[in-house]
Amino acid sequence: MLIVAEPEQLPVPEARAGDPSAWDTLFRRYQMALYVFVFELVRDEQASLDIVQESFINAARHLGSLREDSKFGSWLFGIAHQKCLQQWRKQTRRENALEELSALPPESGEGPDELLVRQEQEAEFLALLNRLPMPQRAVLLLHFVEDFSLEDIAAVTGTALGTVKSRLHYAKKALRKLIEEYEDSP
Amino acid sequence: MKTPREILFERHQAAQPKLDRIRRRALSLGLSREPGAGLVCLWQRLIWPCRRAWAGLAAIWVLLLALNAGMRDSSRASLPARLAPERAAAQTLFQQRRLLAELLEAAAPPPTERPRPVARPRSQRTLNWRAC
Repeated sequence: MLIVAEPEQLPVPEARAGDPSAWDTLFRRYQMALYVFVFELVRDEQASLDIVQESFINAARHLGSLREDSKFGSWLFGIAHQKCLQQWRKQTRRENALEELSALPPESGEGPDELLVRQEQEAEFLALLNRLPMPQRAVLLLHFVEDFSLEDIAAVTGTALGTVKSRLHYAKKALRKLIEEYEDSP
Repeated sequence: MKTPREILFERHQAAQPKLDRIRRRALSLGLSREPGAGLVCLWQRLIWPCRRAWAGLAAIWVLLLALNAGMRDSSRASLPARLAPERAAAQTLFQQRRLLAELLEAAAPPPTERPRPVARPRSQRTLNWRAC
């Protein structure tokens, strides 16, 4: 029997009307996911907390520019992503990033929940995540943390759908390789 | 076995109290009214969603103003040309009136002198009256 998850009911209309409890619910729902996404991009705790707070304030002040209530999550992550890019440009340190992978079409048959990480691999998984170039990391985090659709990820990052598919494909391929190598090892 | 989401969330679990503080601060700052917030709100609710329609209306108004200004300029330029026949007609009318006046003067009889009353003593005037 196929079980289809119902779309999440968020109190966005109430928030539009200025209801503080609705805003509190929305912020509670997204605060950890947003922080994880931001921290894994900028790698600085204080900067991440500042970005999350600024994103919340901007969301509360500019909710009028959100057209579809169901897109609140991706809209909020889009605000945070813009701030991460600004922060990232400010940072002078250069990361030891992997080479940008060429844009090839993704393999078919990949599901979002295929990747499972063993407890022993968690540290390696996080280390590998940090070594990914920022565009790929952003796409992968949006996919892991909120399970956004490819269209939503494209909207958040402001890139073409094909680019998102390509980045997600290669990021997942790199992670899968890591997991397989660990399983093959004695 | 854990999903990447679970691993990431567990890793950052310690940040939860800080995030709660941030949420409360964001609520107080984000929902407080700033000066000019009303205008921004009006802009976002009234203008921005129908920006194309408003831009179209503005363009039509600009076009109408431009047409109006253009027509005013052209009417000012052609005013002397329009007044020339009117002046000629007025001059003709003036001449006709003068001619009519001359003709009327010529046809009218010369003014006759009224006989001046003869000066008489006041006592005689009374007598004349009594005689009547």
